[in-house]
Amino acid sequence: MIEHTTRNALHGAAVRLRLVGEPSRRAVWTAATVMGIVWPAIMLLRLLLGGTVGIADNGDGVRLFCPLGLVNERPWDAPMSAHVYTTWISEPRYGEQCATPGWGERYYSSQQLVLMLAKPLTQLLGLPGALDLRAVGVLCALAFGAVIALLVVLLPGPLWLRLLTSCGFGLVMCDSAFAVYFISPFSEPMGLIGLMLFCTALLLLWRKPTATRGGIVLATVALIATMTAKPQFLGVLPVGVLALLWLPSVHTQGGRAQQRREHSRLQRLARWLAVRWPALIACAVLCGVAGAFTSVQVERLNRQVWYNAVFVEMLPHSPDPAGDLRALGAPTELISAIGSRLNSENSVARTPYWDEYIQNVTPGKIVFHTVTHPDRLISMGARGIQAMTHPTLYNYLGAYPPDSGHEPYSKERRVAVFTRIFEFFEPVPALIPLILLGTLILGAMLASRTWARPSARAVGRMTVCVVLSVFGLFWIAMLSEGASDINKHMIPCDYLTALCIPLAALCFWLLFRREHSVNPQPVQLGATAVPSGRSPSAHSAPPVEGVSAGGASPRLTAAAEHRE
Amino acid sequence: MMHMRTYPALLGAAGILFLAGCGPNVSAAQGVPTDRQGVGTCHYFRTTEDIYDSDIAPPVPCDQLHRTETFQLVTVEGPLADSPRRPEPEQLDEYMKGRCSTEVLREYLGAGPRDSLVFGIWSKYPTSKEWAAGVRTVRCDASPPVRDKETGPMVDFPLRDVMLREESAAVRVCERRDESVTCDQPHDREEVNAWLSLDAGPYPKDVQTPATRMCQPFVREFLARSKAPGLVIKAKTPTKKEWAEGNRTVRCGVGPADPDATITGTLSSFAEG
Repeated sequence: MIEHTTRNALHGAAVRLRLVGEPSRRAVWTAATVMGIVWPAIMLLRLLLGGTVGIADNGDGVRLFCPLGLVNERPWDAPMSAHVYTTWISEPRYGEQCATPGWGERYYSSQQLVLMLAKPLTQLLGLPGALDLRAVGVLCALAFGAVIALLVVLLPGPLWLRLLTSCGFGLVMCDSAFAVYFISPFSEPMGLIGLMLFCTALLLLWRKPTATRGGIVLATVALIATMTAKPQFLGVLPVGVLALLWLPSVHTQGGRAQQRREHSRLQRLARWLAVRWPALIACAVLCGVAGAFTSVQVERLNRQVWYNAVFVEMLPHSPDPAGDLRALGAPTELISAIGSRLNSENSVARTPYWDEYIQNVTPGKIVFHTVTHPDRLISMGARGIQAMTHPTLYNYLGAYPPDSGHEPYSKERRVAVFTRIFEFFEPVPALIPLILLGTLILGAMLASRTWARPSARAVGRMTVCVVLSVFGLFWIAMLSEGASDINKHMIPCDYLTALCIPLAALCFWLLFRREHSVNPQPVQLGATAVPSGRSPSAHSAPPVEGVSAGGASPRLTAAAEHRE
Repeated sequence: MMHMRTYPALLGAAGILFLAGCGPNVSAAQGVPTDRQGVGTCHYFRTTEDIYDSDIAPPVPCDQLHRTETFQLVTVEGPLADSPRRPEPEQLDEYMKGRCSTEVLREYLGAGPRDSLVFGIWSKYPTSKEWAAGVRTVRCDASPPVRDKETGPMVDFPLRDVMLREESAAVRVCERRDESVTCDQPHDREEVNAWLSLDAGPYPKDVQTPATRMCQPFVREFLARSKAPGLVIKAKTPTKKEWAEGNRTVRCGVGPADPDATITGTLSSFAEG
């Protein structure tokens, strides 16, 4: 009796807070606003409270910041990777000082847009220098908050489920493995926020039985921001195209009856394309941007990447390095360069064989040689998964400023829930692909449930896309640079894998608590609000989602649910 | 018909794309071509990264703070010069090995035979645009030893014939309690340019005596006109472990006999002009 009373009291409180039942539009927007304020605040507190936390430079910062006329303010002898130096000052740049060292080409990244905005913000906040990384952190935190708020609006189900899921996303971003990039000289922040925005955009995209145009635009923008952050993020392009074309983006007329009349394959293809024309335009834009971004990549960096693919990844892990060199069309004398980098003392570029090497060993040949040796591919995959278990990059880049009192290269682990999960996987890294597989299955199951409302199925499809994105990002990193700086290159994969944990839980919940997946019913007192079995309304007259349908009172819905 | 909520999304997207179109556009400042920065020009580099590869920043007057000074110009010749595109930095590095000559540098600095030099040598290649336009001139720059680690290599006087002047103490290498310092700071040993080799065989019981004997003529030459009293030869000899590894090298030096005494300035007779 007491237990029953307590449960009723708790439920009553939850109803009063609009946490259970289909939430009203006002409740959703209020919750979204609160989350959009709370999570940036949490992020800023974890980055700035008790001293700045970020991640030190490994040399990449120069090419990112220099086009804005900025140089890092640090003592001449200070190793840039030991501590975080947050201040960047304006300095006239000449000739190739802003270009990739040794080549003279400029580096492009969407992160430079954030830096542009961070310059005036630095002055506004009274921070030292022309640009302070802490201003970048503030901007990134605000963008992150906006994405979390949007997530609350677009997720299906009662408010508590939306809040819990978005808190899961928030916790992932605040983890020590990822949050530190907000105060860093790297391109990752735009990539990580872009990926989260892409996930959110997919919920908008599939909010209705046909793909929404707002979703197409938002997903396209998110993908452009992500892909152009750094070349590794181009790995999400195939998933983006798949997502945009998954559903028709134009209401079909004639339906199945007309489809039956279209006998020829060409007719069916024409129809398939016709109902996806807005998405096709978006795909064309994405491919164009990806192509343009690829074409402006610095040739020297491309050479470094593909050099590492051979001499850092392929040959040191090969049972027959000489055979590999022969297969690639390179002289076997180059075996002495195993383990070298392009600028090493034993680099091939310092030998007379360089011109022959560069002419014969093309990226296509390297990838073809790897994929045609499945044993190599498996061992390469295993190395990549092993690297995913160390998202804190060992003792490679420090997390604290030099005046913090922390030792050089010290790491910050105040919020390290997901870092610890990944480290827990170290003895059995195979658990990572198992988690991804399980998440994929749950996502696919939810996506295929016809009784679920579009926004719930959107979660399933989005989950599938997240797992496929991990796949794309993983292999683009492994097949190019491979073992070189592998832990850092696995960060986007770690990030999406971490997002899989709240997503898998959400998919599971929506699959097995159908009352949160099916369309909300107009509720009357004494009637049950939870339909059982398949909902015929999943494909008919799409309701406006995210808020209670029509004028149904959320309080009333919740009461009905309680009775069920 | 487009849904009302599509418009904010479209507007936001258009805003982001507009921003993307703007992009950072800070153009490089007007520089001075590599082949117009001749021998005797001085150069200041703001960051450690700037000191590598090409440099067309305007030279600075040599009586102002600078990090390097050009002591030689080399023209790239042969097959490498035929390349229409600038070769990889590693290819140019290989080509330049030994071409920025230490002999030319010694002559430029006015170093005597016993003056020890710890100068950095940097090859500054033409920019890719200059190379495409036919410039094949490579600048050979010298950077002085580091006096203050925080500020890096830096002097405010010209390096040409510096070793003949007393201010050369700021670019000479000395030691204080085995720690390297420039000779304008208190020190107890000054390096003398004479790297000698002890006879092979078992590790001598008293390795200092033969080393000191070997160094004697060189130290005497170094101190030729110096009148500082109480100086002794301070030869650096290999340890037993280094000896076992085949190291027989003796590095000559000179300093006060009193182990607690220090000297400020150089003892070199060459520095007196």
